[in-house]
Amino acid sequence: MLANFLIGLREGLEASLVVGIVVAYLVKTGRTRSLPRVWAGVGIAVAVSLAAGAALTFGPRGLSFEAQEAIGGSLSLLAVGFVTWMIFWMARTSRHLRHDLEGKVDAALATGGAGLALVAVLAVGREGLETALFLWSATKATGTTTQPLLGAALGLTAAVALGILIYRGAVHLDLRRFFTVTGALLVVVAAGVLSYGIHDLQEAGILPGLNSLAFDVSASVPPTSWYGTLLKGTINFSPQTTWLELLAWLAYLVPVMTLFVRNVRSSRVRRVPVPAQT
Amino acid sequence: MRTVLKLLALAAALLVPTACTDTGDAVSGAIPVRSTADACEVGAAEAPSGNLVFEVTNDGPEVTEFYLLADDGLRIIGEVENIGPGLTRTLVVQAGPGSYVTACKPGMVGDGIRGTFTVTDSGAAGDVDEDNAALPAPAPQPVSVSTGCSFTNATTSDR
Repeated sequence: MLANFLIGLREGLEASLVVGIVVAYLVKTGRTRSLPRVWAGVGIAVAVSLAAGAALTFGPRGLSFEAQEAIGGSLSLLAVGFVTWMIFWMARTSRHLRHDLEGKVDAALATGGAGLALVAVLAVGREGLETALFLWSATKATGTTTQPLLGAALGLTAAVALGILIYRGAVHLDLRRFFTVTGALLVVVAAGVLSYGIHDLQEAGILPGLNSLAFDVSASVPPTSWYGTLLKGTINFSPQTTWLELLAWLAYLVPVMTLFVRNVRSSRVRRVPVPAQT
Repeated sequence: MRTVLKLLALAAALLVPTACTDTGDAVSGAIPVRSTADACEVGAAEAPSGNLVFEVTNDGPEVTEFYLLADDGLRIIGEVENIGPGLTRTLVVQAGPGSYVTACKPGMVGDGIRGTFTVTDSGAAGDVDEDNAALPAPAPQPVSVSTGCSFTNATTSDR
């Protein structure tokens, strides 16, 4: 049961973290009007994942490995794009907030609400089908044993609970610190998702270098351990990381974090060096 | 509501590359695999080329993964992950004639417990390119909602 609990926790954690931050953001800036859109997005992503997972588990058709990897990889890259957009959008909005430019904040939120909903959709959808397939196979096993389903459900519940804790913690920060902390956290999350997407593409044979590892710490951080699970579930840390994954992670993290920190610090800057996503 | 429509549009956009594979015929010929702490029992040593379906059951105490590798033992042909203890998960993969390596990876580390696997020539398509992963069905099958192929938008595989 513990093993299945940890799978549920790992699969749910990142989505729960991102949705927690998005909701905290809307609540903190008093834009609770946009919340229904975010919840609708989360609901749709969950429902579509569960339905597709059920159809693939119980129906006559299965998803080929190639298709699953290609979709997984591309959704990861898409998620990285949207989270990056969100990071800089939040940084810009925070600057307006500090300068009491209410009108600009309103304008930004008017256009950004749909974007935030999309971030929530992608955060949930990225792991959605894999999680649904896992859940349905646990459901299928209930004929023999209910332990796996119980473990999986408790794991997902724990992930949601951690998301709520993150929301609670974030919502109590003062606004400036909120943007700095959640933004930096999202940069690290997005870097992890990118490296994960690279790994998917390496597994699918689209990118080379699957077997040239930069490091292998799976002896000290076993992927089945609770800390391995938490590291994997939040920042996508893989105990066996390939060179290409590590390079992509650094190539994203270093410039984006630098830009972000500069962005948050320099309150006088008018133009923001935002990547093309906006 | 506009947002919801946009989201649906996005979902639709993501469907386009979705490739589904018919397991209808293959399920009867699914190859059972039993993964335990120290064994990887593959129910058959060979199968005809085309669609291969492995039904992997985890009878061990730890989470396991199952791989079908090329005969160099490195290139991944297909894999299924997150097979928790007590679960059975399915790997659908298309393989042309040749030798392959199977591997169960209890605990998700190391090279796994390996075995050899042969795919014989059945005349069916083997290496299908990425854009055309759907099997050429004898007759075009109506894609109904129940197939799951018309609305799959959210997926990923874990590493």
